[in-house]
Amino acid sequence: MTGLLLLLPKATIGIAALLALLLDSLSGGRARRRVVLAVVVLLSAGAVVAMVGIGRTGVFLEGALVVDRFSIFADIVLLVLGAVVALAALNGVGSDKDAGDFYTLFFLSLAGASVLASAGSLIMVFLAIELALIPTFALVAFRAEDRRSFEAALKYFLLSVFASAIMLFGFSLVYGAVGTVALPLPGDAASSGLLLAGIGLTLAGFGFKIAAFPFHQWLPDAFEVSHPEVAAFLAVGPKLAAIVALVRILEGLAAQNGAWTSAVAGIAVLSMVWGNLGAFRQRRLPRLLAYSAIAHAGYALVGLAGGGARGMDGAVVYFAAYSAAVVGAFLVVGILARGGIGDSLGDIVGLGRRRPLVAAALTVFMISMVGVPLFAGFWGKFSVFLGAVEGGVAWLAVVGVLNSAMSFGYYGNVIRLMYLEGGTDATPPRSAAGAPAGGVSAHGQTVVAGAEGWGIRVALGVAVAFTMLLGIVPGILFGALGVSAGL
Amino acid sequence: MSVVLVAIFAVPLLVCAALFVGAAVASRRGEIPTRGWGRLAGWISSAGALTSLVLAVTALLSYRAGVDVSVSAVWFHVGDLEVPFSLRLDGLQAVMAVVVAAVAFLVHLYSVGYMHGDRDVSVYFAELSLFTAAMLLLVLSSNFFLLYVAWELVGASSYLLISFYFERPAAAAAGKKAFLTTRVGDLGLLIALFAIVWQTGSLDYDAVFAWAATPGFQGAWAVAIPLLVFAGAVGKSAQFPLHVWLPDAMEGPTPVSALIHAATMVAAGVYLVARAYPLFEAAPVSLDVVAYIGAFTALMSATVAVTQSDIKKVLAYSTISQLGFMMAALGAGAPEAGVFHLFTHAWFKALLFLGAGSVIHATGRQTVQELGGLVRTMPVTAWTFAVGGLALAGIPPFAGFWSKEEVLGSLLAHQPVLAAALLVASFLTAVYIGRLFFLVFLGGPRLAGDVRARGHESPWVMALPLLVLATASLVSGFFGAGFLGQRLQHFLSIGAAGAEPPGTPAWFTALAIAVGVAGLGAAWLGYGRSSQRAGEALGFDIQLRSTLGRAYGVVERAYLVNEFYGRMVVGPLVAAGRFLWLGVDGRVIDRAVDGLARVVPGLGGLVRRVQSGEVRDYLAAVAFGVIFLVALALGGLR
Amino acid sequence: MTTPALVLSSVLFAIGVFGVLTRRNAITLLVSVEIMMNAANINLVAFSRVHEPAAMTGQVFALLGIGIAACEAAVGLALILAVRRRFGGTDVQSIDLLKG
Repeated sequence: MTGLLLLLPKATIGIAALLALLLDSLSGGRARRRVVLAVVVLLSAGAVVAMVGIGRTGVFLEGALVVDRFSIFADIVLLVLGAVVALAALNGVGSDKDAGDFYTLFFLSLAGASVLASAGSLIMVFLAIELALIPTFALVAFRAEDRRSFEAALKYFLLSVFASAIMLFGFSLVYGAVGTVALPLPGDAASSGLLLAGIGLTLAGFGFKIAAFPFHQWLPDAFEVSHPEVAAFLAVGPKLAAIVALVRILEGLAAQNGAWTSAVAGIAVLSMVWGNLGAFRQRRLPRLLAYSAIAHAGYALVGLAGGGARGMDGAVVYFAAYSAAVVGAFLVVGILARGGIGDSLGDIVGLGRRRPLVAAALTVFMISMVGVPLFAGFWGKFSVFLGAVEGGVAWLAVVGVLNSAMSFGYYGNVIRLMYLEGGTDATPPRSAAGAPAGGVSAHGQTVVAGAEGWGIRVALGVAVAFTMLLGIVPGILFGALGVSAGL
Repeated sequence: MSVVLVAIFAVPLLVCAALFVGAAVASRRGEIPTRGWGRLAGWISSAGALTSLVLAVTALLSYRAGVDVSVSAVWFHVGDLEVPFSLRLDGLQAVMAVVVAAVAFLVHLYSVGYMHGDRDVSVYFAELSLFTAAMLLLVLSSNFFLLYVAWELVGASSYLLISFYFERPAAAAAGKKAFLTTRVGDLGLLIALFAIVWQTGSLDYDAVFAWAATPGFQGAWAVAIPLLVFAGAVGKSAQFPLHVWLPDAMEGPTPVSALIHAATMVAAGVYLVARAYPLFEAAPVSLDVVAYIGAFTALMSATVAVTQSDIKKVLAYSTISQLGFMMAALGAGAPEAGVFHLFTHAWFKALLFLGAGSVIHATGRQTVQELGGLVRTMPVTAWTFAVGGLALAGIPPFAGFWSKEEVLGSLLAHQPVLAAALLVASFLTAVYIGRLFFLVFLGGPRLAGDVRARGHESPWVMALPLLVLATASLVSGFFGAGFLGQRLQHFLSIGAAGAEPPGTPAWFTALAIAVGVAGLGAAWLGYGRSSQRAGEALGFDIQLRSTLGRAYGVVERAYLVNEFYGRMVVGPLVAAGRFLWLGVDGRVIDRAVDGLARVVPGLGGLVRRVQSGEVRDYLAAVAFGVIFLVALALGGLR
Repeated sequence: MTTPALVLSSVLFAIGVFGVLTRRNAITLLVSVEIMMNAANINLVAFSRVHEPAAMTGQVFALLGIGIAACEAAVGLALILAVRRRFGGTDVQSIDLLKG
């Protein structure tokens, strides 16, 4: 497999976006449904093609686009993510009259994330970030019946363009200091105030993309009001691609290690502490997940702060390992919302009785996010903390482990609530005969219990499978990153 | 042959998976779990544990016969680091595996009776099987990484078991506390693991121990690594200052306490130190730390145990104390003695817990004030409990005597001061176990008219394990004299030494016995006589309380360590969380910006406006973060 | 040679940041951000003349940046319009349903 074939996985995302454009012109839910299913198959095939490409490298557009172990790894995760989210949205957002718009925006953003993971120059990084983010402004606002979704989208937008402008200014300073936009940046660049200020501004821009403290405020609002499928994507797609791009930018700057590692360590600690403390006080599952996402961004940065190759790999692995659990958790939120159960912590009391499989799945995700061995999340934590110790910042690993211990407080609470007896919520449990019991979701729609559709159930099964499979056979996770590096 | 080691832990793991799937399928079909189903689950998992036991004994015998049963495969690569999935068996591991599997089997069996009629028993047995599998994996692993994975799994499954009664807030809190406290220790183990990888590039026991024996093992890491490993052991084995979780963990079902908090999981810390002994030997100062922490814990917990009125709390503090004995022996350079004590303790402490469970099951009471005279209605429980108590008190010829005598002897040779401290602890041990036995089983019922508190004998599935364990508590001490043709301590073959420990002087052995007898005698004087008459049982406790005044209260509340942690650690964390929440996540940053503004007067007007609106709080925070980052980055300009 | 340009761009950037932090109208906020982006564009063009005048990398970057800014503005204005319809204004201070 040579040349342009390496770009085939990315091309499938583009084709998916084009197919989605046609969705609205197709009359009838059945035809639309077939197209979405075809797209899911297409993306899955793209993921397989990407796996075949493991270990190969390629350079395109005079270095602006790079296919290497990082980008292949990210493509695999993004394609699987795209397929899972598209499937999950089948009966939810996808059954809207706006389904075509939703899928188009979603796949465009996914394409942006994929290109971002391959970006070989600062120009491409900037273009790809914007391609990944601009559609998400609309996606956050997609729940048009709730005006709060516009509020969240506006805040997200304003913060995002502010951060983009800061990052672009940072890029311009870095360009001025080193004289090139090609990545990796020359490692022998003289340490100047211009370069270091540029790095600081760049880090701030990326801090926003991965929602690290103090650039995180858009996240809880956006997660709370948007469709769970959108939140699932936001929690993983742009972040994973951004961390790959950040690694690519920082990789070359070994001479400036002292400068940026201390800055990264600073926001890593603050993100972990802030996110975990904040999550303790949350009463709604999406907000809890949002604050925990801030903490998880902090863990990933711990690996980056190590400054070494293993820590950088670790940061990328971290987001991938975390992704299965967080996507799954948001799918559970989606099932709860469509089932009329609601997503506050009070609503999930007794879920273990009413929906045992959904509760078991959420338990798996929570355990994975704590970082218990034999679940995917453990390997992410393992690799970033190992990277930190090897990078000589063992104290950061200590802070990280203490934080993950602390996070058990609220993750464990979710598990506990689900397995409590009874519960105070008024939703009638699903009757044994399967007769639909009506209910009103937290968002005001009348929904039918058990009507979340098979798509999201299958997607949830995939998320559980990945969380456990990556936990038991982490080789498939590390393998895609390790082989081509000749390690 | 090599399949055996995998099968030992895989069988309970499969049982666990099968039970979980069964429970999920049953609930999916809307079937309420029936008693029959729960009982079946109990028998299935008991059969699984029995299979593990048979396999473990087989493996031990084949190890004795010199057959190589080790398993090794590459699990995965992390960059240049090869993470192996490897199991092996040496004397120490073989003995541990048999102990774990045997106690696990007996506890499974006992649970069939104990959990009879409780809800969700299939889930209980699934969790119990998961724990058994993880614990067996822990002792069979031949590298530090797999050990750590199993270590965490053991912690997670014990969390599930402790908080099995989720709806009881105390049970849920206890599970959480156990998990969090032990994780503080696990943190040390994890950092040690990273340091080992970093320094040697290998995780295999043999490779790491070979490295520890080289002159290259020096400097700060050479001291830090064993101490960090010990931190893990301190957490798991409930040693001071991380012992606070174990008494609370008694909220779990009593058979769980017997398995996890007496015989296996808490012993994992002792096993870890014995396993990693070459690392400790290379840094003698770390051994001193182990010895002093162990002896201090032993003495401190023994005093607390004397004052407790909850049967399970007495046994919990007793366990902490006995683990301290083991640690002290390890620290004194006699790992064989420490593990020998672990071996005997596993039987008699499991016996005591199951006996206590039998009492609780029959009467629904677990404080000594409410119980009494049960020897008449529960003879099997009473007499087996007496055997366990005598073993714990160190009265010959029961098992505890032989191992405790070796522990004390080894300390006498190396750390006479600690030997004296442990003698005092031995005396207190005899006092508290005597007190417990006299109050619960002798005398008459303390609450007049309380029919249920009179108790009844437990069914055979519960009585059988008691009898088996009582037998083991009697004979396991003799293994110190001979086990498969050699002394058990030799069979273990820990560390580099393996030399015969210095014989204990006869006068010291006599003294140790005398201390035990004296302790029991004191307990008889304080509680045995008075308990003959109903209603006056705790007269001596009241007398002690009035004599000692506030000191007694402090001891009774376990030296206020919990209160100290509550005020110093938990309180500030909760306050920080509340501050953050009330501050609605933007106000705090405002305050920081505010402070900055006071330093830079011109910004004052700006800050007032920043505080006024929501999005602008966020934008200000971003700006603040940019300043922070650029400042940090420019700080690197030298 | 780049110093005057750097001073100009820094001043513009600071003005933009000040605008973002002080203005209450969402549209003015957006304009302030545009000023910040143009400060970066000035930098890019100026540095390009020093480093690689023939390749025009910086100029290309700046042009693409302007294009991106236009895209952002388009989506942003649509959002602001939608918000104006539902909240009755574009003062970001009055839009605070979500918190915590």
